[in-house]
Amino acid sequence: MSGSDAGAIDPEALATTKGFRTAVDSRRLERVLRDTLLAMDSEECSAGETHGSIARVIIETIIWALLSGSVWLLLAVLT
Amino acid sequence: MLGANRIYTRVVPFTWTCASFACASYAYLVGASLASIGNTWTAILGYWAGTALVMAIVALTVGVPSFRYGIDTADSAKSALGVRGALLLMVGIVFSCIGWGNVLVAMTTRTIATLITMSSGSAIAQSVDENLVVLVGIGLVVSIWSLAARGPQMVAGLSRWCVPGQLILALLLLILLLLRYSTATLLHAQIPPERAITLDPHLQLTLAIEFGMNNGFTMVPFLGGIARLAASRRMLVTPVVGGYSLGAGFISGVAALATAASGSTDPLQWLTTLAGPLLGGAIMLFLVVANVAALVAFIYLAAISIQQLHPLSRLPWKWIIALVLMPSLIVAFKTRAVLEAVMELLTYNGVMFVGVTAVLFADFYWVRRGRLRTAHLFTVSPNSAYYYTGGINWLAMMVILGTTVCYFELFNPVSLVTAPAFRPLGAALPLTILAAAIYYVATALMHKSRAVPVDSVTCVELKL
Repeated sequence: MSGSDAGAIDPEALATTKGFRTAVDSRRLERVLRDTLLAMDSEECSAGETHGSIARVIIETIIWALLSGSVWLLLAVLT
Repeated sequence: MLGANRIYTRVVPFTWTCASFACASYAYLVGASLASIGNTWTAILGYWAGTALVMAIVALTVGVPSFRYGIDTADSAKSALGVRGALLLMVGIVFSCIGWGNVLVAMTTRTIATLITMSSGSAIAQSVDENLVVLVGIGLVVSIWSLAARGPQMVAGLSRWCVPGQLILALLLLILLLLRYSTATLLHAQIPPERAITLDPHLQLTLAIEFGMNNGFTMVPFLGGIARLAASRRMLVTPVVGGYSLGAGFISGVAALATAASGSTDPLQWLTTLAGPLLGGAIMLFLVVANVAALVAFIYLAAISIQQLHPLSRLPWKWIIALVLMPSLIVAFKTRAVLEAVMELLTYNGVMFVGVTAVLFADFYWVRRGRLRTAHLFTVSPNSAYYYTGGINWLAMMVILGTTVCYFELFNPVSLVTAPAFRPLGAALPLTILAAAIYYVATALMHKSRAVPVDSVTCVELKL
């Protein structure tokens, strides 16, 4: 089984780790694919619009859940 | 998919694409099923409420990880299911995309062939020339191939025109219904009691909500592939939930009213009655041609999923699309059989993803605290943060299997047999909550005794 997901990998360290690059190169991956994976890890740790807080997402979800739940409750009362 | 490459930078086009999965011909068949519940308005509103509630959960579960990391659900699920276990989900995604896609191919083909036959003289085509059906089918498959081969921009472009068109036509049908039957008639329109699934008002409501929830769960395979193309988190919930649930609710609602008011479950028949043969035929033709947006989206999503398979990852995109469309070519020769057999199979489609959603939600938010490591998702080495014995998280598999078995004990969506415990809250919602809790507790207990230091990852072996 996998362990807990505690701790963080420094994307810079991951990107420059010789072992990582060696493993990637040894598999003869296309350069673009390797760069994409490295960039994805780096981008994930940046605080840009794409990967910002999900508080807004959770608030919107709660609003929709309350709205649909209210309709459910109303129908349950009426029936 | 990196942030700079994402094609959906505005909310409206993204909403149309999400709605395209709901705004297709099968929404009219769903409407006929809703009317058969017994109380038409309870069915329509309950169906919308169930769809919206589950879509909100699905948006959080598969939309957020795919958006945040730019990866498909088949990849983000690897943290929960294991690198090899995620193949199960990939099979589910491909099955759903190809299954729904082929149902649309069959429906579109048969309807176009029927309309061609009708235009040649007969008022209502009782028997359609099967050779004509095959010709239309092959032509449709080739058209879909040429459109899907142009990639996600084509999905967005088609949705922008087809979805508003579908919604405007549904509105036109509602106006025609009001002109023919009056508001008061439509407010009380119901099928005869002897044709209703049940006369118990509370069970009618629970069934309507369950139908809606099942509909929402069918979006699990599709949403991740679309969310990874979104550039802003503003698109993740309201456009997804609103676009899909309102599209599905409105079109199916109009169809349910038409079915209840006219007494016919065949859309072509009540359309002809409502609008006359000429206008009715024209509306039907547009409705099926507008299926192309959903069809191209299904094929695109199936194609990006099977690209995860190593032998296929290096095939040119056009060849992958052709491969995904191969079953559709067979469907072109067997449209009637597909509509009968595959539709029944796809009724179980939502059930397949109840347990999957519960596990993915608990894993991403409770176990991983909303963080994944992209490179580790593509790793089969024991050094990976997401390594499981044999590449499969058996705990997740057991929870998914257990949830599915329990679901069928409570409710069978084909035979509509329900257990007494189904009546108060249905099956999907309580089982999703229970399965997520079981997965989280079991994972916490197992990891407590066997933790793997993930910081040891310095050399990641990528499996691509």
